[in-house]
Amino acid sequence: MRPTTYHRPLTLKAAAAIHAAGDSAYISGGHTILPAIKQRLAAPENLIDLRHISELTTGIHAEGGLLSIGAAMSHAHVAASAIVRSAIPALAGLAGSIGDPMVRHLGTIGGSVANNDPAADYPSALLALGATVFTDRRSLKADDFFTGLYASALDAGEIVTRITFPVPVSAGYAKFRNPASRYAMAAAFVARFADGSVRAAVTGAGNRGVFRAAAMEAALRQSFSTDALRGLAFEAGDMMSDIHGSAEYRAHLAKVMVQRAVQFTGEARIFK
Amino acid sequence: MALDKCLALSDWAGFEARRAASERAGLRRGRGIACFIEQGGIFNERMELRFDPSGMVTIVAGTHSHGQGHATTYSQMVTEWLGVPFEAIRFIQGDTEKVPFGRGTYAARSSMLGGAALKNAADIVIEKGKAMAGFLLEAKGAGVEFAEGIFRVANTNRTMPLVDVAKAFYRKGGIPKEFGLGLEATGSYAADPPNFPNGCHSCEVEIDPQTGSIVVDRYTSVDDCGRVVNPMICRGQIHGGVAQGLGQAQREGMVYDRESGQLLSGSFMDYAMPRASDIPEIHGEFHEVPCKTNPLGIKGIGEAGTIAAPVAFMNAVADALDGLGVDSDALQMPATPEHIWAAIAAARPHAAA
Amino acid sequence: MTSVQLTVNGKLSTAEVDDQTLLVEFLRDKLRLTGTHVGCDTSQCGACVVHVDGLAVKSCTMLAAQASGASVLTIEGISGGDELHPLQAAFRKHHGLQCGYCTPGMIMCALDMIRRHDGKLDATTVREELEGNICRCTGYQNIVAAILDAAAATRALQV
Repeated sequence: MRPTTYHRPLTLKAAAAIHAAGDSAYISGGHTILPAIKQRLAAPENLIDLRHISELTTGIHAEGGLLSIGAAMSHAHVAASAIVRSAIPALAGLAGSIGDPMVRHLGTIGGSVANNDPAADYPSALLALGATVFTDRRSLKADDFFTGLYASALDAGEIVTRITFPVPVSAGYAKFRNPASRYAMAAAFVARFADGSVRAAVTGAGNRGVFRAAAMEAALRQSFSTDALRGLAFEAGDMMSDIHGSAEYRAHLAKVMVQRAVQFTGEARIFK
Repeated sequence: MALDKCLALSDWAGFEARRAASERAGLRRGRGIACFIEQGGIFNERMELRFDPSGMVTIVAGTHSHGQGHATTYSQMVTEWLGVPFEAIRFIQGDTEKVPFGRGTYAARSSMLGGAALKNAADIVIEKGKAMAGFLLEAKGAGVEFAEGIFRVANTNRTMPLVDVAKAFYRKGGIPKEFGLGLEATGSYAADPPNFPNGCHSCEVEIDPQTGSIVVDRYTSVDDCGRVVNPMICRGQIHGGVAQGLGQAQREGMVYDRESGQLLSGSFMDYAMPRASDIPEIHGEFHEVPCKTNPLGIKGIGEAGTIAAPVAFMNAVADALDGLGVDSDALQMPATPEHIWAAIAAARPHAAA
Repeated sequence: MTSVQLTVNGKLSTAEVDDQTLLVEFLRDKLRLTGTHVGCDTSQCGACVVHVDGLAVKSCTMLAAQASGASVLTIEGISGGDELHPLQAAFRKHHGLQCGYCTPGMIMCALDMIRRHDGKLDATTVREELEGNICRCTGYQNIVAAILDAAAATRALQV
């Protein structure tokens, strides 16, 4: 492992101060930053551990049509939470499908969202639910938060503190696993709201990261059914391509996942 | 016969009902069979048996177990042949300071070559033991028999367990000169001829034409590995071989960048190892036809799964795609979701939509 | 350098280590607890699984410094002495290991799995829960059998 200096601040202020003082990366569950360092894709001189900052462990609450999840909540916590399972079961199912049990014990929603891995699950849920990301400085709407591959609107040193999700009438998540890494090769989160609006977000497939399927949203608003999606398709030119799936395949797979997120609304379904 | 057993064990007759149920769920079910024969055992091998003054014996093995349970299997053999208690048997392998010579483990060779070489060594121990037993029991020209770990002077009730005879080879004095001091034996055996493990495996898959996803729903194995020395170990070898064979057929592959030669599947992030949820429960049986060309009747077991599984799997895939106009001869391994989907889409676009 | 203090298998350990020392390196190199293995180093294979504060984690993807102050349980710590833990006994009985490289990780994952499911497991659930543990030798079948056996034994003890 590349040399680094470990810090364990107890407050957000202390964490931000260390970050501002030198080349740093935050570490939450560590399952993104540590593999990145091992593969020489990152080499922060300082690693700032966020797991002992009380302001981040605000827990899970549901109130007034909003579900609030603290940034430090692990995937296992979110998956097992009776509140999340009741309010947005597809979100609980999504969290329960991330990685494996060991990964879920350490990985956090804050870390996943801040990193915006193009094959991560959470960004699609935030985008589809129209979530709000709260940081130590401000709040950002999901539509403004995810800006590209591994890129977000966070400023240097900014820390995600919690995320709030409007509770939809129903939501579904469908994911097709990459055969090797088991991340999303294409996955879709589709949410339907009381005012009739529909939001659909795709992860794992787009070559600019997580994105909203605007044309499909409009069709689903007219009729929330898989039939409504007939004739609609994603462009291969907008998709990622690698040894596991060509752009053409991903374009097709992403559409199938949107269909299945609609078909199985109310739950998360994982395919492989 | 292996084929008949496999068909029965896999509920071949019940397939149509399962296929119809799959179809109602929008999935295509197919089944495949692999009747295979392979060559087991190669080169020659050397095994030693060394007793110590306490009557314990050490197996010094030229083969090298990396999980195949040699310590157990060879000890079973020694206990059966020589009557040494299982707990009094030690096992050494792999240390070039302690093992004078060996060829290792691969090519399904250890049970036959290691076992037969061990038998050779055990037979030498018995011969030496007979001579010592005859001396100790004052046979004076009468024959000495050996059975169930005990030496007996023929037609008498004068007996001595082999373990005690072995200890006698370490006495401080009074050992006939021609016996030497100590009891050990070196045995060898050559794969001349080799053996021919064979069998019949069957596989059922369910394909989702919309995604190309393949689920292996059912796997049945009937294997003739000759005499089965340890059924649990042999079953374990089949399980592991089948999982590896299915992995090769469905998901594993070394992928290189054509221009740079860079390995693209260089970690498990990109090399698709099968997980527990990718492999079905394997229902298996043994069909024991003792090998006639080695003293133990043994055939190899280590490779059978890897040989049969890819064939059974790809045949099942071809069967599942039958009727869609897919050229099954053009299917490649690994049969990844994209590969299967693309084959369906090319032949029958609306089926893959 | 940073000072880490971990309680490992009930015993307090304090050491000065390089900040970037992984928990698995600390356990293996500093404490000579070599039952925890490094298989892939890319966080997939699960050969490195230990428990930190009661939760199964991949020790190759955690700094020793992150675990400082916590209680760590490794494969060496699950049995009381000379007697095998029921999971270890089950793996032995069912031939749930061949080369043994993945085995400590499998057992530590299984221990966590049984606790979280209160011993109520079926084969499908066990196979899904083993998503983060890779085995080449066994084809998983006997591992699943061993875990189900140990889970049933755990339930029987609770009654």
